[in-house]
Amino acid sequence: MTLDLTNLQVTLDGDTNIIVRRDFTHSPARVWRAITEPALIRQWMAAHDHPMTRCEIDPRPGGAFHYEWANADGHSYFFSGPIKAVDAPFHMTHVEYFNGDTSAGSTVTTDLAVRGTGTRMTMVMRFDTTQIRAAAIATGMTDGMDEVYRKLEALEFPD
Amino acid sequence: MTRLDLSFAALADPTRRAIILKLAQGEATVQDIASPFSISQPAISRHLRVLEDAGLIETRIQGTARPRRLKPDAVQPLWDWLSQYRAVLEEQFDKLDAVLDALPDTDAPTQSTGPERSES
Repeated sequence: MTLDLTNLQVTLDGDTNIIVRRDFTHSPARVWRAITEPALIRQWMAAHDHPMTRCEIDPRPGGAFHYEWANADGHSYFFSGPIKAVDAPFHMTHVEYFNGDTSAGSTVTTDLAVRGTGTRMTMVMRFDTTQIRAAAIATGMTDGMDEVYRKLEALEFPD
Repeated sequence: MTRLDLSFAALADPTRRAIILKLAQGEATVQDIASPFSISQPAISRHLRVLEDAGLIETRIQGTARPRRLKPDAVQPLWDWLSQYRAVLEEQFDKLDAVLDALPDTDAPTQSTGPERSES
């Protein structure tokens, strides 16, 4: 058994929520910078063969964000939406749409809580219905993983 | 092939992902499902068959109508798949750790209440 100090947890909560929890060894102020300053966001959100082609966030109520990637085929995908509430460096609520589809978004609350000398980040993604959550799992989240899909598409499945 | 492999294969196709998204709004007939696509109804029916074989959707029999809907337990294999999503997240958060470690110490966590701003 290994001791995992960062302790990532991903859980389905009730019928409509997905909760992601992760601990960091740095203060909420530093974690806040890393999740709200584009120059820093780019460093950890870019996948190795998926450079971020757009990274914009205005972390204020009434602001918005737009994160876009291009995959190896030149196909791009993005998450975007309005910022609803901000209490730096501890809280942000935003709405997230995949590829601009406003019919099936999620409301994401991000909380940074002091935990010892570090931070516990808790993100709650709330979908309107359990079906939309299922579809988000099936499409939105996985669509961002073209690498996985490329591998899948390369697999041969017998009829 | 496991159920999960079938789900993967079923969802590897963008048309089938779009069908899943459509059915997330509620059950629909083949005609309803086919209408936004520029492909034939038989082609849509083949996609529906793949999704049904994968256990992601089911057919309800209502007189002569055969509406399709998402299966309530369709979430489970996808959720299992999410353990891989978790691995991707973990990789991303590990990078975030590295970004944090490299940040200049101007707002070092001397106090856990937040950054200290000293006015001179």
